[in-house]
Amino acid sequence: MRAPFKKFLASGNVFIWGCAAGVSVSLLMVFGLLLLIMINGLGYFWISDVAELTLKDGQHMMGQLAGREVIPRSVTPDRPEGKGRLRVKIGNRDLYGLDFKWVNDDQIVSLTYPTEMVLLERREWGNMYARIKAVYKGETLQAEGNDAGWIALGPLIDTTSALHQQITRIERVEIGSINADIEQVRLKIRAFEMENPSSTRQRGQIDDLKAQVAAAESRYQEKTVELEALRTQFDEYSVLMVDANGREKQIPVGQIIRALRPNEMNLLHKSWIYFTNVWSVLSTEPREANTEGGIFPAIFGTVMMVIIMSIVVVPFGVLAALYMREYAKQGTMVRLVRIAVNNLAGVPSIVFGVFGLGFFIYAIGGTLDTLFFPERLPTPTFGTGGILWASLTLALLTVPVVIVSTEEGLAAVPREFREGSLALGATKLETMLKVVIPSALPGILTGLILAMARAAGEVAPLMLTGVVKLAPSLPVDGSWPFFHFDRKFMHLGFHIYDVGFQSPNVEAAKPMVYITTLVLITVVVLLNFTAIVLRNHLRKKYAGSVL
Amino acid sequence: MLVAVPLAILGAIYTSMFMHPDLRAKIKPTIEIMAALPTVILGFLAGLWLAPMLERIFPALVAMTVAVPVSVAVTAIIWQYLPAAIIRRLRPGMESFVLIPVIIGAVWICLGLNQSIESFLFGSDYKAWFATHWGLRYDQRNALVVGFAMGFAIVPIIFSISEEALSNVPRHLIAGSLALGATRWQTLVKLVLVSASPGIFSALMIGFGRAIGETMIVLMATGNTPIMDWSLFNGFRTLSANIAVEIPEAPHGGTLYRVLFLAAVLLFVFTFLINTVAEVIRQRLRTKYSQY
Repeated sequence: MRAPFKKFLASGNVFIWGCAAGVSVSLLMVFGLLLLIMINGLGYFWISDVAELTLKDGQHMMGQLAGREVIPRSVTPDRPEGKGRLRVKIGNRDLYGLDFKWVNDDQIVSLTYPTEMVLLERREWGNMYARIKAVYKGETLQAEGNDAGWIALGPLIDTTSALHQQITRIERVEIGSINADIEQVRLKIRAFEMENPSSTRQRGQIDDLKAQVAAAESRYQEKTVELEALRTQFDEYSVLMVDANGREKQIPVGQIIRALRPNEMNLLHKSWIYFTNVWSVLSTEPREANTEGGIFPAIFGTVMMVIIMSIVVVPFGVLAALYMREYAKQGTMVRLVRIAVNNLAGVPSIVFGVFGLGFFIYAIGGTLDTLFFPERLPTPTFGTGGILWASLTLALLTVPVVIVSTEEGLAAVPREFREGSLALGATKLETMLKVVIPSALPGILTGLILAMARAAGEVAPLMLTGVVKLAPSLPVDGSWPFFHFDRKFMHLGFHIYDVGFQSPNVEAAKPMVYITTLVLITVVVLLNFTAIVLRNHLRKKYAGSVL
Repeated sequence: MLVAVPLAILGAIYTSMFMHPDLRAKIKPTIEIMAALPTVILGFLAGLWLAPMLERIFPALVAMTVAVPVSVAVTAIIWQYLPAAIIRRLRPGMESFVLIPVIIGAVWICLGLNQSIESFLFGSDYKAWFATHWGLRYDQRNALVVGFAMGFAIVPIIFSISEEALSNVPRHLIAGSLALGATRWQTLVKLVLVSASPGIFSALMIGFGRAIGETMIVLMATGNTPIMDWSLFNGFRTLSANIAVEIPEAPHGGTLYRVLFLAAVLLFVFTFLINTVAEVIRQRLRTKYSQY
């Protein structure tokens, strides 16, 4: 027994196991993390049943059960061990002020799932769990009681949500474009005034423009009247809800996005709701300080930024790599440049952010403003963070990635290809364009994809160069010139930071954060995966011919 | 972070030296994907999920630092005495898969025993114990949490660079050593590690460089308190997080703006130096072995 054990130690096999443990822990960490995010993110969309609890002190509670834990000692030091407590999402934030509540196991008398429970998704104040008492039109009673109210409520919600769409369209598109017109004309007037306010021709033009402003303002008045009419229609109906303890609350139907009775749904119906939930998160705009609703603007902003960045980064990166690999003499200079490029990849992203702020925004943007938009000052146009500057900053950040992998791709092109092409009488440029670059294309694509993945996940520099919590409008819209590079935008990564750490109601925002994380992680992992597959493909393709 | 470094290097050694090439082709991209995870995600998980959990399971964590290595060693010893028939069925390089359930088991047991470990090691409440014995205060968002998240961010970088350095060691040197009768472990320690040590060193440097400049994790997982303290369990703030927090409020051209720019320059110079040294070492290593 002794001897073999000593031999075993000497052979070092135990240390090999130690090394193996390193790999195992790393793998566990990666998959554990992905699993955690998936479970938390995907679980949110599932509508669980609404429970009604009766407590020992005679109180009633309604809500969705959100978890259970053993009571930690820090909460109740005198309690015997092993007691559990339930976490209930009670919603009704306007009534109670909190979304979640802990209920100790030993206080619950009964826990039931009555089928008539109604879950209201609202535009404000989060979910409501209650029973319907009555439906009103203005002051007159339309339907009374839970079941009759439920039947009456369905079509009402449909009409009000159609109205809501109409209202937002008028507010956003029509009034928005009128406002943009007025602003344009006002700026023109300002520009004329700055040039030479005294000449008569200028005067005449200014008067014309002022007439335009007046016309636009009257159109604006018409629209407001129309909007007013729609609003009264919108607020006409209301529903009286009653919570578990009999507290009543009148809610305008316009506030309700959707009414559900989760307890009487079957699995199929719930799955349907699940998919509509997923879709609505991906396609709608955020509500309630970003803690509810969708993340569409963030997705759009991220995609837009990545596209602009790619347009900038590819020519620069590829040309630099081509020069360094194909034309430049491989000497100390190129070696230094290569080290510098690799260094650039290692510089903290926040430094790039500061650079973007100091150089792009204040220096270039400020100059652009004084040169081209003097009439708008002191309100900055390009002299403040915007999607263009953010994309350029990220392009700087990702150039090394593109250079390195393009070089790798170029190096993998076999010498024979080049020599054969040159021997057939092609010039160096022709060889480059027709032979070398097509063969190196997977390498270039890999670089681009990796750069995109990096850009999609980067947050710190964006915080300084133009990301905002809530952008009033997308960077692309219907008013001229369609692309607004000076606008601020939303970004998935920043959304995570903002919702998770700066929102007033972190507990309620958590699902939102997990979902955003899930979307971001899916994008990044997919992009990386594509890059890796492409790279392996490239290696395999030329493995045979490189000698 | 002290956990992360050995983890990454051990992992890299194992992957490059003992793992089956097919398997290696799958493991390496997985870890590389980990490198690409946006740090904002790590920061968010560290802040919102890990920090409260760590607060709850801290005693179990202390136990884990002992339990996991012990369980690995025990598995190795048991493995030694298993009948040869079972061992032969597994390809070399499967050790890490054998270990996955073992490690999960060890962690799970530790979590299960959380309460009893707490009462055994720290009396009834570890926070009170720290306060009375060492005079420390336990913040929820502390250096420990950041260390974990940061470890997550730099493990893959250190892993992939040192793996590259290790696999660049010429095969015939290893074959020669094995042919002379050295065991796999002896070959590793006396030959491979020695030749690849500059590469591993540069991997460490690059990893540290990244950790220094990391913003989002620190921003989200620490308390961002500007008061410095050497305790592991208090919040703190770094240069980069400081820039991120304060620059939106700094007026253009003002003193604060200039100071923050200075901070950025400092960061830049710091990482630039580290990276240059690492890069030079790496290039020298590469030319050294390309002669063979």
